Amino acid sequence: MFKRLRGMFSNDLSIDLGTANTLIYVRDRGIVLDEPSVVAIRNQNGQKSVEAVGLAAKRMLGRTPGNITAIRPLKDGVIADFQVTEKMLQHFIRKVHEHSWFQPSPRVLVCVPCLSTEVEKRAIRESALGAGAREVRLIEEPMAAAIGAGLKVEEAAGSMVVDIGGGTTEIAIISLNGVVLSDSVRIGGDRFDEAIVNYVRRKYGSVIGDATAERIKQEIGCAYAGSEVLEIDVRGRNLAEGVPKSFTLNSDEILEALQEPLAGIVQSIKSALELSPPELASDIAESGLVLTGGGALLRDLDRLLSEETGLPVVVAEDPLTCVARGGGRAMELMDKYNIDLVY
Amino acid sequence: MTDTKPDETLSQNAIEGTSWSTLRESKGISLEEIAQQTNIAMRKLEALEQKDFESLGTETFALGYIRRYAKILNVDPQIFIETYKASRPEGDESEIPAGKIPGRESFSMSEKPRKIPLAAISAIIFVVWIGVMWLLPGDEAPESSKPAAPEALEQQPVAQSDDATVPTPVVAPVVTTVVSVEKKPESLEQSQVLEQESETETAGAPEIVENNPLAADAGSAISSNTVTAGTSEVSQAPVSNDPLSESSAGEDVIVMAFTDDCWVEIKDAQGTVIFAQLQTKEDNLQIFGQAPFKVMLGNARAATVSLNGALVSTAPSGSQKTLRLTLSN
Repeated sequence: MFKRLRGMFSNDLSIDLGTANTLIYVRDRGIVLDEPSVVAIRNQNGQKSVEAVGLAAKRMLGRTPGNITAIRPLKDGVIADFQVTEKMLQHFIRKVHEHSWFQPSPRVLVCVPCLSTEVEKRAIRESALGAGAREVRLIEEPMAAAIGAGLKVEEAAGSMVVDIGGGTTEIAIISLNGVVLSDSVRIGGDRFDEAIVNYVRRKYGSVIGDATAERIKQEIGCAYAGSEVLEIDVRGRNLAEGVPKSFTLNSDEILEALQEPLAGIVQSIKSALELSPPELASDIAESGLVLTGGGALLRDLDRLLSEETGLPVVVAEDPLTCVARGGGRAMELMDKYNIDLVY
Repeated sequence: MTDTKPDETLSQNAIEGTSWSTLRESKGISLEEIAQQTNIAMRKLEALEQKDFESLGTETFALGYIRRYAKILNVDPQIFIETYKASRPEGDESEIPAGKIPGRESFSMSEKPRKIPLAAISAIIFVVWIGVMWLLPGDEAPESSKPAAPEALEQQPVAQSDDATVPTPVVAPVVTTVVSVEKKPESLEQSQVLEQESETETAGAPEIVENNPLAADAGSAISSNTVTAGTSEVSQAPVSNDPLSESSAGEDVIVMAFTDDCWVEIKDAQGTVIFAQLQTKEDNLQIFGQAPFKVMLGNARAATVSLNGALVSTAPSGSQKTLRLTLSN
């Protein structure tokens, strides 16, 4: 009832509700929240309560006692657990409005994967409304990523964006404020981690956790065969002996581990290029494609894609926050020029 | 992200001093090799080396090309990026990756937050205004009902700007009656009602608000004056609640007693409204001024009126309640 009044004291938010991380961008304040999309739930005599959200909950992942479960409520870019997502969003929105006297009721723009179904979109919309938003708008992730990367999306020229997130990789060709062609593959940072865990289990007979796999990927992971070889010491539980064991991994091994997910991304990009209209393909050949998202930080991924596609590949500045920034920017553009970037 | 650590020996100053092509040649890398590795068109790489950044396209691509170029040369890309940013005419604006769209006017991003203090201020003003409106009548009421000090001889104009506190009298059709009454000094029965006129009017701004229960007793002590018809010269209408001082001043006095609620409006010889207020049951009123008085009674049957001690008939004709009459000596 008082959402409108409360809205006067709330900021417009652009939320990148990602599988791995949730980012919130606020007008004229920039990125105000960047936390893992993890919620820890305590189950006390059948009563469920939120124990921790975000970074605190992520530290609990894989380290919880029986009555606490650390959940990642999003899977493959879409909501897997509706109620927990709502609680998480509620927590994040409150955190952004910490100094407000009123219960916040912001206008919210949420980025969704471009091939998400109506049911998935509705789930995102409903959970944002349930978290206290007074108005929810949705935008396709690659569109937000392109705006965030600083591409001229309003021009009659094709721009290609590849946004490698935690759960999905979004590929889109954009022209005149619209998505001409898009594809979404359920390969992302999580699949990279999973591939590393599987590789270590197979090669070393040891089990490592997701957090360790992520650390390996960030520190020595690479996508191109000619790259410098780096090493890292890791500890895992040996399956045969059942005791923790330490071993050394090098970046060539990680490259080998990542071959499958990387091949999937390359294949999707090639397919998108094959389907692109010739005029736009020529524009893309001229300027190149832009990589955004956390996956773009994988060492020499641009080099791999450049070699595979024969196109110049550039990594956007601050690729992790492109989508959230682009969403905020899209909101401003929509207010200012009344253009339709949202569906 | 780089193959090897950036060349530590190359300081920024050293790079700025030399052209980028010289730097590349010193490392034995040809432009073709870079073009082959990065798939960036030769002419773009040439433009980059000549620092012709305009032909590189948008900032996203220009910075991307510069990073890849620097990576192959094994140089910290930040040095090249700073050169690029320094060459941009927009300066700081170009640093915002989600920057403005060229060709469209720039706009403030703080548009929304500015509305919040405005809204808060207007809300506070509104609340204060409501508070004032609520409190003001409460402050005025005791003032008007408060008995006036006996020594208040001079005219006391009461600022009664708020009409909402003064009830509107009942509007009645025009009734004109002329009653001739014999003049009998010292008698309360005799007075002359010269004219009763009824007009549609509302409460004006009264100059005197007085309500003194002592006035009824005082009225009987006043010596009667002649009641004459017609209007007389304009004079100031001082009103006092002190009957003794007033009788000596030689002015006319109206004494009224009420048996029920009645709206009373009295105009003096100048036509100035000297009294306009609702009188309640068992109220007594005494007004001093210059005759003739034009009196309007909202509920004439509830009022007993005497002028200078002479009782005036206040029975309205028929079923009328309102009575307008002119009292003169």
